[in-house]
Amino acid sequence: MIPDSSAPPAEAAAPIVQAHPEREDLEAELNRMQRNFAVRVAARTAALRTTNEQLYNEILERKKAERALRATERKYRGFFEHSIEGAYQSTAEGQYLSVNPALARLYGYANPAEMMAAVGNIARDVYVDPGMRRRFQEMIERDGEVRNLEYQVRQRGGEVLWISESARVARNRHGRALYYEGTIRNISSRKQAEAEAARLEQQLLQLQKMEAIGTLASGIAHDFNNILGGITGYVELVQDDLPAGSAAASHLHEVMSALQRAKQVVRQILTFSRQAPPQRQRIRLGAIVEEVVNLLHATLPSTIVIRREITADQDETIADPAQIHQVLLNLGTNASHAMAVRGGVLLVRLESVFLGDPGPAPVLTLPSGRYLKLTVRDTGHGIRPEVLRRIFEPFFTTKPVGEGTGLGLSVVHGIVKGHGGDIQVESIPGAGTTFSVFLPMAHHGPGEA
Amino acid sequence: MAHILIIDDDASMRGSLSHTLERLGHRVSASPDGKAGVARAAENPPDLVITDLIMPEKEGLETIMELRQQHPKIRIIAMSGGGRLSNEDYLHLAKRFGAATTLAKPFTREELKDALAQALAP
Repeated sequence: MIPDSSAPPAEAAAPIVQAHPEREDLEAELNRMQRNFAVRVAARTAALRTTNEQLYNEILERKKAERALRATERKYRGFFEHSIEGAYQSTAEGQYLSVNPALARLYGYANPAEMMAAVGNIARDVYVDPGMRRRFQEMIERDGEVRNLEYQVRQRGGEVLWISESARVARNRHGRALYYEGTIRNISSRKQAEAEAARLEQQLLQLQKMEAIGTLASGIAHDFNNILGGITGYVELVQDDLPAGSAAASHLHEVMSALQRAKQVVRQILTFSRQAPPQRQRIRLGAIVEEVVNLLHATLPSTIVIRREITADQDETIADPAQIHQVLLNLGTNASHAMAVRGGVLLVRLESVFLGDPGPAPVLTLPSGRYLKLTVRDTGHGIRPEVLRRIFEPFFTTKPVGEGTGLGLSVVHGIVKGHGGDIQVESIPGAGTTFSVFLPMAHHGPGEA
Repeated sequence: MAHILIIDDDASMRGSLSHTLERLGHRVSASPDGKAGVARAAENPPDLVITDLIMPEKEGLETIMELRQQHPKIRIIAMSGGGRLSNEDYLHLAKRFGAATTLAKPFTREELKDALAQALAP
């Protein structure tokens, strides 16, 4: 179509519009749609903004929570790292998952990493008694926790510590153990103090017991001597009335021999209970050792080899020679009994020693000073610990009835104590026994070397 | 022969010792403790007392002391079966209290004769 240029322009427009009604509709529709779109965009934008804000807030929240978590983590990590008590986490099978520096230090390692690398298996590498690990596991699996369990562990250098452990097991939903975690305290000094107290108490009890037995023994000895005195007198009176050479006279002679033996036994009881010092004189202990060793040579079977070592340069002590002789002979005879079946080596050694004060003196009842140490060692059957504890008690014997009175070692003990000395015994069942007698060394008088 | 007083709380000891001393030709009397012994010695002073040391009523050392005070010339033999102290220690003490000699129980007749000879020597 060609537009009519003669028509007035103002009126002309309308007819044109009118001439295209669809266009108007379209435009209106377009406008409506545009408005609609704007509204929808605005709505969406608002929604997006809200979502954004929410997200932002959420992120903020999360960051805050993370910060808090990290702070908590730092706090607990610090607690773990700086704790003065040892702490760990481990698998139930016995591998460490983490250990803190305190535990590493306690077990002798420079740091946790070094300890984790060195300990592959807790039961094997840490526990002194792997059986204790089994008990620990039984308890923790049964009760879920272990409180103040005391046991011994081995440090890196092999030194043994006493520790107290409290631990719990962490489980999953199905009750399976995930890991153990616990704390460990070093209680070695407490244990040492307890052991020392127990030892002292034991020593005191033993002392009281020996004293009580001593009192009893001296009472028995006194009564026995009176009884033996009466019997001896009457036997001699009967002997007067019997014809010499008669059977009755010869029987009474046997009674008199038995009375002599009874007198010897009572004398031994008295020696044990003796409180006063023995008849002392300056003697050379080496000479007595020689004498007794020669006597043992003559009497012991050839399956027992006797070795004599005298290293003491000064071997004088103030003592009753007969009693010291008895001590040595008794220890030597006991040693030979211990080797009667298999034979072995009997060592008799005399050396001079200095017992320090307070020092690691092996004989705690003695004051510091110079002593002569007499060792009698056998390679015999040894003595069980329960017997060893009672070995110096009078009437305690492991020999069959009739073979020993059980007085020998108590008499030895009494004599040595009476001389201001002490006696120690160590024994390994199956390997042998060592008796060590300590006697104070005699001081050199003026003018002596 | 001598008049001998035995002081001992043990009846069998007292009995056997009395018979033995009588067979050796002595005149013997006996008391069961120190108190009775001291009283008996006051009534009829013996030449020699053989006394035990550990006894009820009056123990031996005190008995020796009193006997020596009352009868300065009396001879004493102390005998003991031992006790809290060793026999030698008791007997050694008895000598310091004035016993001429001592006998450790149980003793034989030979030992008794030696002690008598020593205590009764002029």
